[in-house]
Amino acid sequence: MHRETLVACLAVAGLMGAPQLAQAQRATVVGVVTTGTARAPVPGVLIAVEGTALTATSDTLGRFRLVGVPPGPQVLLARRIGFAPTRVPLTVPPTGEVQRDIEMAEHALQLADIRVTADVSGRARGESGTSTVVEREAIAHQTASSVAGVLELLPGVPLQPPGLDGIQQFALRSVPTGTSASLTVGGPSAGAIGALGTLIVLDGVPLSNNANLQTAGPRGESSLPATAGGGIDLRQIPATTIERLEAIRGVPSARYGDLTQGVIVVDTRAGEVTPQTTARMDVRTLEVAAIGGWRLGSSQTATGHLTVARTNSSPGFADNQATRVTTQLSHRLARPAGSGTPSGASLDSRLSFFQLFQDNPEQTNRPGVSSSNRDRGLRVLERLRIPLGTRTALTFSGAMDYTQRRTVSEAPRVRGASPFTSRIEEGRQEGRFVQGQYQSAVRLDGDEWRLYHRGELDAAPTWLGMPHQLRVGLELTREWNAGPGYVFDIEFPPQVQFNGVQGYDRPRRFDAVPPLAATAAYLDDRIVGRLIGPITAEVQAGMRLDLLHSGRWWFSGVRDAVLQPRLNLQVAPGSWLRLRAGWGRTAKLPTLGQLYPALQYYDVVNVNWFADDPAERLAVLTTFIRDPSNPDLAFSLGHKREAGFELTPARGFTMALVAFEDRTTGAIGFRPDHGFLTRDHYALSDSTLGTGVPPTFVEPPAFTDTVPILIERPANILTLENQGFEVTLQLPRIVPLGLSIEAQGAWMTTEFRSDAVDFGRTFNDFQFGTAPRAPYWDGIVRKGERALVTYRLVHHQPRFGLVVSLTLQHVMNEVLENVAATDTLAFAGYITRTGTLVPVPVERRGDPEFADIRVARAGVTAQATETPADVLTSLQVSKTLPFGGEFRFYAFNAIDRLGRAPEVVPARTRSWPPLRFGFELTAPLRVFVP
Amino acid sequence: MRTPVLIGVSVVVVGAAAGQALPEHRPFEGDWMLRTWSAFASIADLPRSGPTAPVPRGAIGHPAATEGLWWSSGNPGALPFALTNAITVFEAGRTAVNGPYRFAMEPDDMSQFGVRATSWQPLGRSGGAVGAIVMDRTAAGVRPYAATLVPASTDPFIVTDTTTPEAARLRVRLEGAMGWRLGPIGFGASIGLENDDHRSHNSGFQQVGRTAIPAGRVGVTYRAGRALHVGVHARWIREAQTLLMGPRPDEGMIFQLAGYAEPDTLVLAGGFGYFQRAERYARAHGVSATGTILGTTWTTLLERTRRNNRYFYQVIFDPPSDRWIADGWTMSGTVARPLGRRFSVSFEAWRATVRGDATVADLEGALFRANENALKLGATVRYAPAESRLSVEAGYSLWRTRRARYDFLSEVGMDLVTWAPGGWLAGGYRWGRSQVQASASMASYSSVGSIPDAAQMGPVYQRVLAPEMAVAASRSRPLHTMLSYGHTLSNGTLLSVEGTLRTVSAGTDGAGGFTPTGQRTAWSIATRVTVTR
Repeated sequence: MHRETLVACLAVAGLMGAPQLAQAQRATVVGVVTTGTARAPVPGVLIAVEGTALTATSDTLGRFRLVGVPPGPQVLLARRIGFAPTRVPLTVPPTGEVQRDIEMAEHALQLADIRVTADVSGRARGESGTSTVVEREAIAHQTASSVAGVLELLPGVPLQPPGLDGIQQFALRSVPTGTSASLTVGGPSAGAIGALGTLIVLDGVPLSNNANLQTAGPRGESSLPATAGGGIDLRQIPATTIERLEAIRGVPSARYGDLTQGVIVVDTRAGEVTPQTTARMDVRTLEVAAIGGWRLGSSQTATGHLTVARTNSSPGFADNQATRVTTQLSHRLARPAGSGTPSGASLDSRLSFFQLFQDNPEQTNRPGVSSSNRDRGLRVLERLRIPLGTRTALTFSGAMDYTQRRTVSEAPRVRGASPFTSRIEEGRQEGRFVQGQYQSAVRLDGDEWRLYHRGELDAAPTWLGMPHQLRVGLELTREWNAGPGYVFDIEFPPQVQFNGVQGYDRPRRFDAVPPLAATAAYLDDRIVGRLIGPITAEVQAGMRLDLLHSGRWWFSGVRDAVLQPRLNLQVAPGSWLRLRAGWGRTAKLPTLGQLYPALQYYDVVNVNWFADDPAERLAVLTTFIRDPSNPDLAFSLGHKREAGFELTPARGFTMALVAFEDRTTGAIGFRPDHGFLTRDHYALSDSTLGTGVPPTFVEPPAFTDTVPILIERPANILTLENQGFEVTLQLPRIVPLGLSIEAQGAWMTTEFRSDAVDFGRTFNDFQFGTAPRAPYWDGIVRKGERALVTYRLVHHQPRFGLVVSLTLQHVMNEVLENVAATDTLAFAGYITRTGTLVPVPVERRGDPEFADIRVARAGVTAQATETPADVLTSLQVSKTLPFGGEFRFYAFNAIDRLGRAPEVVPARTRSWPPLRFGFELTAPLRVFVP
Repeated sequence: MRTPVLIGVSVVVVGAAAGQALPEHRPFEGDWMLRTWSAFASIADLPRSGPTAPVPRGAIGHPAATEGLWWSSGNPGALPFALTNAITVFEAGRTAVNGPYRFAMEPDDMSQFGVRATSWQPLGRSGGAVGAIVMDRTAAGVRPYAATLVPASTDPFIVTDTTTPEAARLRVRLEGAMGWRLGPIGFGASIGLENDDHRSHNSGFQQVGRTAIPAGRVGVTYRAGRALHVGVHARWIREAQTLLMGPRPDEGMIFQLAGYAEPDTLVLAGGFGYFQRAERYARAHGVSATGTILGTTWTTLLERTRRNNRYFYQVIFDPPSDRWIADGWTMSGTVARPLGRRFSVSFEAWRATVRGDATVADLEGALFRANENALKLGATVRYAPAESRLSVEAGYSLWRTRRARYDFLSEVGMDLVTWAPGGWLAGGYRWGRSQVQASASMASYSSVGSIPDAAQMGPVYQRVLAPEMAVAASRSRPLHTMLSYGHTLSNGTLLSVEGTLRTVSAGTDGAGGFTPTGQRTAWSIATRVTVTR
């Protein structure tokens, strides 16, 4: 890997110094802003070149002029209160002047060039890697309840019905294989690893789930509606408040860290926004939102939004309900030139709050079973941008996140008569017997805090005759949890498997868990220029260093460090073709729960004297405590590669194909470290029944044996490999029919494996019996494959403000497979009662001496599950209404396909996509327009 | 096929009367504005309904109907010839139905609130477009019926149960048509999608269902001057309906009716639920023509209809299924001509036939057979001089059905001919920017023939089918009245409000004690905004 890093650095250095790159080139863009219908000039429109600081304002005749625009694909963004924001993509030549007029309308739906799907040729701001850009109108037309619904516009993402039902986590370029990394204990699934490694950036500051400790751990038997160990629950971000979304599927720039899969950049609506309210309703979901942004004097704007949503997951059958409330206040202070501060200095402030409740109350057919997860979050964000000259700016970002999580789970449990102790320290103690059914109740009360700081210098110098877009930054992150923690009555625990093999948990305070401190520094440069003749090239190269500190703050020692080179190349032989490639390394921080796992308790029974008369019973237990934390735990590493091309043979016709390989190594799972405990057996002084008193045990112990145990220790043992290709196709608009056709598809395979060995279910029997040894097996490799193509047919009638889009998603292939031998010769070796692993070569596994460990591997299904092809249909209709309103209708699974059936196990059972439909009304609040 | 409804009555869209509505494919009655050209117009089905009175055509705020292929056959190829100006109608209304004189599988009472927007728009000189959206919510009271299946269609497969939960349905329907003309040739298409979600509430026995109905129609027409305009068309409807029932916590019994024989009883208890999936597919193709000869305008339509309904009860691939396969013909004709400058007269005739067989998965051969036909004859005289503020219309209609239905399993059948002659009187008056319209109509319903002797049938038949048979075999006298008022604003926008009342009372008992008593009343009120450009 270090060799690859060196090669990449040399490549970057070589390209930066490539003599072929021509001299600095900038062009001028001019045009006129008019209304769409009357062609009247629109003055006072702010036109910006997206991703740069270049802006201009249209004059009284609607004319504008932008000087110094970088060559290549650019997007002009035009805004004025009372008009829909307008995006105009264009290709800027290296030099000279290009004319591009802009059409504006009160309703975006009345614009001829409106895009209600993802921009297949769009670029994330400041990024050269493969990305998908989704703008406001596409988000609105998608009628999604959360950001998860917007992500369906990405290639390879299955359609899901809108609503808040179920936790919504997202993994870029991954096929969630569903099952966990281990069969014997709970472990992260491929989906959880992928979602944890997909970075969500909200308003320029990353979100994090690293301090989330809301889990019962690998030994817990409770099912909790929480998201610890996985990605952010995307339900907390309502779609109605999103202005723009960028999904960086390829190699992100060095600016982004704490990821392995990719980056989702979400910008919420801010600045001047026409006040409006939106109401959406379907049978399960009711959602109301209000938003407005006003200019306060010449230098300030203030924006506010409020959303309230509720989803009943399965009305009529269960009362499970998710509710969400979000609000945000944004303020922007932009000092004009000449007022004592440098021209264009700005201060952005945002105060955000979300409340996301998932309540699963008791159902009549499952008495005693209930759970809930109640999250509340508060975020304060400040961003100060100080221009240093015309092409350089210094930006300081700071954010403080506080998330309060309250998770409750109750369930009835039944246990047999067993010795019990409530001891929470190591040592021997007389216990008692417990037995029968009880109601277990678990509470996890976490208060997560996060501090994030970033200082970034953004400059556009010209060095060696080449234009550069340079970014240098430093990030400081500190995360901790100050909650009361994991609480339950020890006598009525959430697990009944007191077998001593895997241990169990005691209540734990979260505020005793040390914080996580990390530092990152990065350098990123982007160069665009002409190579030979019409051939242009773009290079984005960067280096990022992430440090995980061993102490509580950023000045403490370094526990682990990862250097992450990133490189993206693009060569365009002409305006009709772009060849692109990217390579890079990424790193993901361990979570608090992985760095500081809960202590494992083992209550070893020394005396088990069970008499009919409870007064005569005697139980003596010795409590052992093992700390499963792993001092060697380090970053998970992501290795990303991609290559592809983008073809634009004619106006409106675009085809892009990219092949990728994302490999996550050292992802963190639970490694069952084997060991043993010593167990003293005592003789009883008098075991006569009917005395009414228990016997006493005789010191010293009569004999001592060993108890094999497994310690579930977090370790960098998992590997997740995703590879495949994505293709997007946009055909020219069929003007007479007002019809646009797009297609995007993806074929992906995922391979998920663990380096740890699997002790299977026989280990439990081994613990209680007298067998001298037990078999173990190699880890199971889980594979997933999915191929799907999504067609979008968009009919647009600007005259009527009508957009109808029909989405057909053809799931061509879906295969899930566990690769593992399950026969009696599949074992890899055996473990002794003292915890020694003895591997057995394949050729000797049939020998008579191993007859006792030649057992079938239980609980493993090694058969592939293949699901036949099917097509899912979704319909969206958007229409302008009088008085500035809009109406939207959506139907998911509109023609109600019954669903697909896996061809093998489980045999002939259909997956059953729901039918959801609803409508949305948006009305302007004109009374609040100044 | 008829639009599925939550309950046994037709819940017509806002602005029209509700209750024991007539089948949607009778083109000269009810809310014709959405029906004639609708992609959802019924195919190869003659749903049974209670006695109704005829309804005069037209309402304040709706575009004036003219004769032509678009209006008579719904051929979208005729659309560019039919539209002359743009009109948009927004409507909102409420309908309530109650009273004990009903089929057993209808609710005691029900109410519906809905909104509708319809827009007609010429597209340049050679095109036209129509679009509509309807959203409504229906709340139904207690009834011994499970969910949304049409309980009185020609198809005999019905699911019922012993519970009586209240239920609600949310429905959205979108449809649109576009047509273009190239000289004398017109071509066009209409498509539609209807989704509904229905579920019980306030009940310990859960009933949840959903329906998706995509439908489409294509047509080509040729216009040979004013004398002749001919067209061919084809249309299809695919309906997917899913029903789930769960005993949580109450238990219940399910009856899968497939005719008149006593069905097997499925007891739902514990964690076991019930699933049924209905996939109904119907298609039709036909020819139509219109023209004017010697001042008389005539239209005619001939259509071949086919239907294939499939029901299954397991969530697996290629499940065994029950089937209803039917075919039929629909034909209609009208003749209209002015009588002088003040009067006009029109005659209409419409006839439809359906013949179908039902088979079940575990038996060979037909289990049930239906052979049904319906005939309507009508005559209308209108007094509507252009210079007069007053307009008057009088009409007569004769509605006849014959339903021969036979259950091969129980060897029981019915052969019933019903007659419903009726008439109406309607009038309108304008003054200034205001106008008022009123109508009253009545019919005399009677029948001859035979129905199964309910006393000899099983308890399930007596419970859910016998009351319907009894209503069909009884005499009654349905009434219909309507009053509407409209006011035109200075910008030409028309505001109107319309109220209707329908009643039908129990007459003679035709089935020995199984006939419901009392009265069934449906009233509705609708407000309408009509914008014309």
